[in-house]
Amino acid sequence: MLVYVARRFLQIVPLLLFISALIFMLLYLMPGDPLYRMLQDIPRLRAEDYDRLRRLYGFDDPVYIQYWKWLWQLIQLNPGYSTEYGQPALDIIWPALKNTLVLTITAVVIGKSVAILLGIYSAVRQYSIGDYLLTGLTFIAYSVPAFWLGLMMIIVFSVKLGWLPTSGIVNPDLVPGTWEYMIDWIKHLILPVAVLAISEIIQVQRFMRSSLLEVLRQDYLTTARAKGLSEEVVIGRHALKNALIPVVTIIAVTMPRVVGGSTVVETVFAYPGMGRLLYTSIMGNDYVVAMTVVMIIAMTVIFFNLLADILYGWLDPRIRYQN
Amino acid sequence: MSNRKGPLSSKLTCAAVTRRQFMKLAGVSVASAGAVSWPSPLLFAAQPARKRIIIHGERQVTSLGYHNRRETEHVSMVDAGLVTQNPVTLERVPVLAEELPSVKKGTWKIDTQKKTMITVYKLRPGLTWHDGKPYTSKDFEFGSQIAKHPEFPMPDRLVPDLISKIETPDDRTIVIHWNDLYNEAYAVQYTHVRAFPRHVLQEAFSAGDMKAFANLPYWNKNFVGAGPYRVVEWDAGTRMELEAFKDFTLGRPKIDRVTYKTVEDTNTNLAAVLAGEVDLCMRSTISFDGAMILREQWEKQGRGKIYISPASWSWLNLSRDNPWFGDVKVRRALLHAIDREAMVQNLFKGEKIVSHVPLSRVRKSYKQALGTATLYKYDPETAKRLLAEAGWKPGSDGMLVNAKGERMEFEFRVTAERRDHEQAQAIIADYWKKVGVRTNIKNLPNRLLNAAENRNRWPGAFIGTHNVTVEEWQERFHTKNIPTAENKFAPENVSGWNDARKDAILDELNSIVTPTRSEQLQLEFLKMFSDALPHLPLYYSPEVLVAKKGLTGITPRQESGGQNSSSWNMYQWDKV
Repeated sequence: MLVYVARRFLQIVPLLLFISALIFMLLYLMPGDPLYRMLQDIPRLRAEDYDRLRRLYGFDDPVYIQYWKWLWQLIQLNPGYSTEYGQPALDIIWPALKNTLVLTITAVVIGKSVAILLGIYSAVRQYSIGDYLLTGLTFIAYSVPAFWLGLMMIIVFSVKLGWLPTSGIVNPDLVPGTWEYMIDWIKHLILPVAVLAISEIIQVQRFMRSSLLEVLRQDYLTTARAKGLSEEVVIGRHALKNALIPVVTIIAVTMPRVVGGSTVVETVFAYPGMGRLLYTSIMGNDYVVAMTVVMIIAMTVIFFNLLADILYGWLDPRIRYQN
Repeated sequence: MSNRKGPLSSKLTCAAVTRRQFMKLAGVSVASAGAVSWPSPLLFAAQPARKRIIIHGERQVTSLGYHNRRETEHVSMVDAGLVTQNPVTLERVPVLAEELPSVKKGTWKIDTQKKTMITVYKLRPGLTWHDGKPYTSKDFEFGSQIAKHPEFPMPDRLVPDLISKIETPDDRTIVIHWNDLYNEAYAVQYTHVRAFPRHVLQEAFSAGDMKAFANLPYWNKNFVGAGPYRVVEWDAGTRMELEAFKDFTLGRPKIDRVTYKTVEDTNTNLAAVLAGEVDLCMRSTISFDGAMILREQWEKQGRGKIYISPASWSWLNLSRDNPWFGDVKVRRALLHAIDREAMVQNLFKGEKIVSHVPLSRVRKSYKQALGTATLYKYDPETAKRLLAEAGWKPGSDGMLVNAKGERMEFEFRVTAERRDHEQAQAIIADYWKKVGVRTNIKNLPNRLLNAAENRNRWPGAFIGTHNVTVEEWQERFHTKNIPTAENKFAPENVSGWNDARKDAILDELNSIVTPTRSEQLQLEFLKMFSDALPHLPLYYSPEVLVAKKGLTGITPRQESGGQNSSSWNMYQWDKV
């Protein structure tokens, strides 16, 4: 297993290099000029100013030089300066990452826990009214775009009822460390977490249901029941563990969102996270920030895929990795 | 993969971590993430202020200096120039300078023979920076050095390049020597040249690494200015916390603390206004449709005020590269074919903002210009006649055909994100269809329109918007500013209007002229414009500002461009 993990880690290096080159090329080939915002806002910009700015911002270097400069800085854990803010990219990304982690981890924990419980319920009570109701609600929720759901929640809970704030993180009037501050912070989180959690629930609940239904038909469960074990023990100790294996894959695949955030939800709720940062940096041609954010997300994808592989072995003792 | 445990693998599997331990670890991870993400107390160390307002803006606060992308509205909050501009009357108002240089007083000397000038600005006494250090004429000279430095990424160096020398005979006197005639020399805009604190920046500037200098946290996070508010906190792209600068030269701001939040989504802003969470929504944060909703559901209940000002100018351009449009009869016909009154009524719910000339309605010469300019009323018959005179006659299917057998069919572009332009495009395409002109709609996002292959040119028709200030006519209409491959399509005379007399007018307007002569020239230019129709004028694009009840002193700008900013008088705002 250790050799397997070590080998996987070694494979990560060329993979990350490939991904970094791919990301760089994709962003580089994206239409539009990095200086276009300046061109737009300043009618007096002359051709010579344009040339001068391209040179000063390093946009006139050949593409491989630009890539190498960025990669070399990235290897040194200093991916360079944001062209929008003139600040180190990591100084811009780190606060956004912290905000996103709070939002998404909360949403994922709540969403996936609820989804697993609902999935178990649906499988165990297959074709019951509750199962039909959950299936119907899941499909409705699946059809609703996150931005619309977010806006509807804002209208109901913020505008009409006045219970929750529309956007942001915390009311700047409040003093940190006080209960008031903490309650306000939680209040700001409720709506975006709810929207994200609903999206988590609809994704995982269906998988959990079908996976558990498949396991429930296995012979070893009949044996367990024949041995006189209670239904709770049969499902809780024998069926659930095996049913979780495909769910773990789904969870692992969706985990990078924990780091990447949700552009739509973060924009609707003006939540300063990674998704919103990625969007604004791409729209603003802030390549350094955009590429670093995408690299962080790519590394998360790789890490969680590896973690999922390792978790298979833990969840199912029959699965072992050959050296 | 094997189904059987090997002796080695059994040791190396996750057996080292039990499920219970795993769950604990997961719980601890979540809790740690929460703890790490808790906003730092240092960020909010200040106590709540007596009077606070929350402003929502669509634009991120990226830079408060010269370079990168900066917004006049943000800069006006935290810094001040020698002079500012009242965005309603367009009057130049001295801020850090005691008064405007004038020829009469001898503080503006013009040598028309040598084409040089000298302007003398006297700073107000006792000026200080936000950190309490004295603000002197040497700081202005230093600001000019930064702007002129070849390695500093200053975007627009037109004005710094016009300055040949700055002298500072004492701490309060700035003598600017100009190497050309420049009609705005008496009211230098802070976006072009302004002071920066030498005591903060001199060392880094002298070190010579201009890349490092341009990336100093000074330019946003640690900004030290001389404006009505000082930056207390700055979160990249999301928020700026400002505190009243008690020593501001025009008086201490009445509102103690300001939170500026970037909220891009117009619906979220609308909800925030309805929920009473925001005191002021700056331009572009609320859509026109959103403003109409607020007018009904919010303003009528006395909860605040909606300001709609016709600040910029939307036009339709027929490609300079398409020979069909070289004939002025075709351009006139296509304008006659559009019922702009009905279109604007439809788009902007009764706001009377049809435009006929590229001049804002607050300019003195506006009414006279309408009297002298050629106006094009909706008249489809005249449109058909003019098109026939230009050689375009209806074919068997009703579509116009010329002698070569070419059908009048062309591409029609607007910026994909501009809703009012998309709506206008659909209406105009329909009007044109009625006179036998077919258009193929192909809208592109802003990014693509600004890509090298599309910038400032299009094959058929395009609807655009730009500032309407007279001071920018030179850039928008002078022949030397026609975009070409040689100049990388950077200049802005996208219509390609080429006329010697018009250029002479613009050159004279850009030199030193009396107000009376300026108005004469403006009228002549506008008459020429309305005859030649380089652009088909459509409407003034409305700018929406939303202020909550109790917030006073807001003056929405009437013209976009230049130093016009709605936050120009922020020190006078109050919350009652």
